[in-house]
Amino acid sequence: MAEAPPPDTLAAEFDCLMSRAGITVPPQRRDAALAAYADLRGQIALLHGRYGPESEPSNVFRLSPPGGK
Amino acid sequence: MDTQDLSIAEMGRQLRAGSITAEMLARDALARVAARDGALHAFVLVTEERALADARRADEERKSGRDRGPFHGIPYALKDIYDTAGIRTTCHSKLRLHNVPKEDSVAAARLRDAGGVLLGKLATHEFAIGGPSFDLPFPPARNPWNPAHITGGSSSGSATAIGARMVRMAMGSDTGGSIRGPAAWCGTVGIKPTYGRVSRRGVFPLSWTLDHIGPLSRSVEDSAITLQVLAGHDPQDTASADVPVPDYSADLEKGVAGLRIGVPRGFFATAPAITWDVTAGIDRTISQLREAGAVVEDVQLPDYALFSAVGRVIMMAEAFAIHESDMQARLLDYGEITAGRFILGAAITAADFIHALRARRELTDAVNGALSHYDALLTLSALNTAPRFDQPTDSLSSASPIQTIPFNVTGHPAMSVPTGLGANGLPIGVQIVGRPFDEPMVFRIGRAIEKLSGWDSVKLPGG
Repeated sequence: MAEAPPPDTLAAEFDCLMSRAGITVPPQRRDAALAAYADLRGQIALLHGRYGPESEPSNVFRLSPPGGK
Repeated sequence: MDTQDLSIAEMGRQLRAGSITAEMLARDALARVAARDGALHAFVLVTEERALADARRADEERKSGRDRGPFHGIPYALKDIYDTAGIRTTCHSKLRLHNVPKEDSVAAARLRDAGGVLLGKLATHEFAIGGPSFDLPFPPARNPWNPAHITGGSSSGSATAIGARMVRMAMGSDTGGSIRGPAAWCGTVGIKPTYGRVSRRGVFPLSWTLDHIGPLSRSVEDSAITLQVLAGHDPQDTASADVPVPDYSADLEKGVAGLRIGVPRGFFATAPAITWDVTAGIDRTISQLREAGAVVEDVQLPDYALFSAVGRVIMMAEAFAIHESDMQARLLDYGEITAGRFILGAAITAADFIHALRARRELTDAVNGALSHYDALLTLSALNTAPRFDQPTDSLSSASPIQTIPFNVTGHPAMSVPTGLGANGLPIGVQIVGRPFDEPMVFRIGRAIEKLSGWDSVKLPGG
């Protein structure tokens, strides 16, 4: 994920994500929600660009035959 | 002596000796709740009839020669996200205000079958995340050491009830620190067992892969006795581990001589929110452990910020999946803090979530690597003491003084133990982290810290 975009772009991105999720943020709560989104976006930036294709997620699973371990 | 100052083990001894009865214990606890809870709001529901019925049954069984074990006749309470058959379970939310489960959660059933005496249901942050809030159906629990201060969350009522000496043990849940945070701020013990150690079935989920359930209690021994009741495989909980259950009390008094303990000092040493008295507290604990014969060394782990980011992304994504339809249709029925936090889950992309899961594997490997050299890790539970209710905070920010989420990400057992009082007279604590399923080592070190710190002689509120 790229560094945080300018405020207008960030707000448009947030509105788009809320709209796609079917969430209507009350106008009086929008500023706080947008600030929280900017904060979260900063955390998410720590996770991107960190791994090569060999790094697998923690939920990759393994099957066992019946009665196996 | 007030019966609430008897340990669970001592209550059991006196019950078996016939010097007290379960009904006496229940009535004492109910009287204490009646006297103190009007100001503290630990309980959202007191189940007096159920408590007295449980207690009388325990007394009758004991008279007839049936002994259900160390929890037989012991009063306890449940965070109000634990299903209780026929008893309202609200999650402290308008959305579930009239929810009456048909069955007990597995934990509630195990405590009932062990002969426990249910006093009632306890306040929580809404859905174990949104609080402290004044826009919910019940008021927030207040810190028993000073009601002008918050408890931490989300197992707020559990910590208050124990800190105020209403009950020796109360169940909490911990998705990012909701047992250990309030335990630290209210001067109680609180353990988040290994992921999969205790069945989550029947406890309302916040985030399936981060949720752990466990006890808060007055002492380490109380928690060990309680975990003995709770631990065990549940084939109907997909995360439940089929791992033998050891004797959690067997090693409590073995001390720390010869143990190796690692301190991930980078987690907290330069954190902006840390206060001098909390730093002095953990340094004092480290000195005491060394004097008692432990080898205590600093250890390097990945940046705390990475653990925090992984935990928050996973938690918000999973929580939003649980609440998606209600968030779309009934957003204003949630408290403002709850809704503000859950909304963030809608802003997490699939790639964000997968990267968090990749990092989770890296971080779990890093903690396992550190624990291959050490018997346990020691770090802070919180960077400061409990803030005041009127202290301005950004409740939607990622910045938190509670330092517990790394071990929800990795699933390792972790326990907060009180070590003393800060400069303002409020409790401080440290956190002990063990290898997977090595709760006996966590209890052993916790018990040693409890003794070395002199916490047993600290005068508790309401005492």
